[in-house]
Amino acid sequence: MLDKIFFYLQYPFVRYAIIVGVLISLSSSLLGVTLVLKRFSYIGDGLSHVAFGAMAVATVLKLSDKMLLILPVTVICAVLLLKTGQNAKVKGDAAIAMLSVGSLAFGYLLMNIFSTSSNLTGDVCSTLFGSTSILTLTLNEVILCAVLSVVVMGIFIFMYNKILAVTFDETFAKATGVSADFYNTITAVMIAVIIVLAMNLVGSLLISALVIFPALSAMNVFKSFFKVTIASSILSVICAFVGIMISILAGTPVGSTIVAADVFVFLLSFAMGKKK
Amino acid sequence: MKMRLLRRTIILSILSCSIFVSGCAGQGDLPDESTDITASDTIETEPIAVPTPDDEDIIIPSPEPENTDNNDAFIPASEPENTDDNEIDGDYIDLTIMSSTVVYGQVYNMMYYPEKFIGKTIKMKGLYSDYFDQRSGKRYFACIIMDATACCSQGVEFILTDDYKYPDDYPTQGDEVTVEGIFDVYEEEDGSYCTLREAKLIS
Repeated sequence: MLDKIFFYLQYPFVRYAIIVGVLISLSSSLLGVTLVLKRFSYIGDGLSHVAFGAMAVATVLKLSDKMLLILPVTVICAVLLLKTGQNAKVKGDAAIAMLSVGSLAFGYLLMNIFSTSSNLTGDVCSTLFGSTSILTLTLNEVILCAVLSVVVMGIFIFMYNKILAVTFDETFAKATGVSADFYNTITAVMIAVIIVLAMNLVGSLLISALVIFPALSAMNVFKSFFKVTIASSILSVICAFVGIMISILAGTPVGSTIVAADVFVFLLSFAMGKKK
Repeated sequence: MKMRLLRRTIILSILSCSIFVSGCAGQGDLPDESTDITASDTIETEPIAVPTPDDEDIIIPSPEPENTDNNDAFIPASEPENTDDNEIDGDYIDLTIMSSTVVYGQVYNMMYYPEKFIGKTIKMKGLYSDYFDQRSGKRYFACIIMDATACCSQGVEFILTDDYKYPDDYPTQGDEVTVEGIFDVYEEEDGSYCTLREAKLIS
């Protein structure tokens, strides 16, 4: 088995997949803790569906670089969702659900009506479930993913205290002079970037798992924000790495294997939490 | 004032970085748009139609040259770049010993960076498919591999040696076959195409 692992690791695209997978899982887990605590666990799912809808529009418009449309649209939706919060007429969870299903339906409809692809099912399936796109990255794409992940992690660490304050009590944070709106916007932009990156790894249907499972697993065992954040990052990276390795060795779909690993760890931590 | 400036700088930095993500998550983005390999179009943005025995509209990535004996149609095998791939695989790439996930990644590389694989002997296992193009009057043969989710597929065209007579010596649509041939690229009408020439059916 080790021979096989080393054999596969010789291939650049396998190494790229592991690097990108680990970086994305690390970034998403950092933000996952904040999102879970703010009761925005489902935002990843909603935004990924928005990204799917945007991708459908970009496909219909025959844009050569679809991300030029996907990313701004996802960022705008993320900002709107996180900033409006409880003050909006359509509140948090309802707004996410509305955007999520609306974008998904609209995207699929557009692809059905206008797509010239010979394999529409394949197109949709690969976007929803990630397929093997993580194994088809070029070096430049890996570098960009790495840069973005590092930027997201850097900002999170740099603004850790403020994000912590806004996460736990936004009103109190505002009263103490912290610009909650600004930090919410930053969080929203980071989430959008991570979502768009993670579509490569697990597909748009499974992104939520990457965001919430490590955070929930860590919360089962630890209680402080700092410990939960650290544990969540470690668990997420381990699950992503193990998931990718299993999928490479056993020939299983990458995205769902990573999520299965996340679920397994969650059950394990749940049992550990009960014992405590 | 300073704080505002700092905030603006941070927001602008994030947004700038976000724009650069373009290539990063582009599932269907071509690594190099100048590479005109029809088979590559079948991956994700326009995945290949998975051939089935009763599917009349199947698309096989590469057409067969009119005269298979005429090797002049092939682009002379250029010296492959010295990359990691070449060092690992040597001149013989056996895809049958790899997991389906890795095979998909490797075939993707073969389609997108064919110059790295020209002249190498490839052994692969997949579903046999043939397609008769009424417009050109040619019949194409391909070995189709699928990804782990079975929703995306890629095909590599092969041209069997003259020892094989169609249709007697050829498999039937959808049969699992193992093919071995020399990877090459040739140009025809609307672009460049990958193929396994001098191919043999192992099973």
